[in-house]
Amino acid sequence: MNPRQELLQHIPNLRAFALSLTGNADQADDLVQEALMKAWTSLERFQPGTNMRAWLFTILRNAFYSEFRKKRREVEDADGAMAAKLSSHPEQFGHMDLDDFRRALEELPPDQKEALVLIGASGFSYEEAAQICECAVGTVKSRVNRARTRLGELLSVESVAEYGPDTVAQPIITNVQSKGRSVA
Amino acid sequence: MRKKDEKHVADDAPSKRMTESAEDGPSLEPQLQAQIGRKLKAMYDSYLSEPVPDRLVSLLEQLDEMSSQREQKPREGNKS
Repeated sequence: MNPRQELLQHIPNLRAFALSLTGNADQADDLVQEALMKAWTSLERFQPGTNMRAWLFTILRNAFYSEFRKKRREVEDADGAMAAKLSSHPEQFGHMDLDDFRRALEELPPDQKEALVLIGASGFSYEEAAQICECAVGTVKSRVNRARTRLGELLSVESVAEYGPDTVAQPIITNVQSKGRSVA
Repeated sequence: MRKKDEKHVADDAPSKRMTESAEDGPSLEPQLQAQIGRKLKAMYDSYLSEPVPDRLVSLLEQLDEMSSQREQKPREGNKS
């Protein structure tokens, strides 16, 4: 397999990672493009037989963070506006669908987001994720835990709506129904 | 109704938490975490199944062409 074919194979995964990090297709494709070009020019530095996917993820991650640092100041205002918009429409969250999940994921700091995605979705081991994130295995673990806890908090309203009504709402519903009947 | 307070779970003691909250009905936490895991995977899989944008495919084709031209000696490579 030539290097192009091998790189081509990994694009869907790189894109999925980039989309998870950015939540935006244009930004994600820019990142993948940058990562591919970087990977291509340093392909001779890649050791055959080692994990190309992890290597590519590392490159994409670095591209993401340099872009993130560069853009942080410009985007701050837009982010504030977005957050305000989200918090002013809490009634839209009733049932946890994929969009609710995506929105909650966006709220996480990038270090937690990437750890969660690498472990929970991309299928990397904690050791590989630690290598990609250039941190200790224990750090990856605690980031994943914090990400899960935070998502749990953000999404617990929906889960109450989904799992709670039996015990919480049922007496009220029954009450209302019987009252309605007695009136009629 | 105060279940929400139990939500900020110590990272190292999740199982203890689960049994504690289990006494006042089924705990939300394990179900919620399972749900979160499934959503994460579903989101990622939906990204994975998207077609690779043309610009990325053609980028790789260009890179491939450029480097194969570089590798070949100019005289041999200039067939056209």
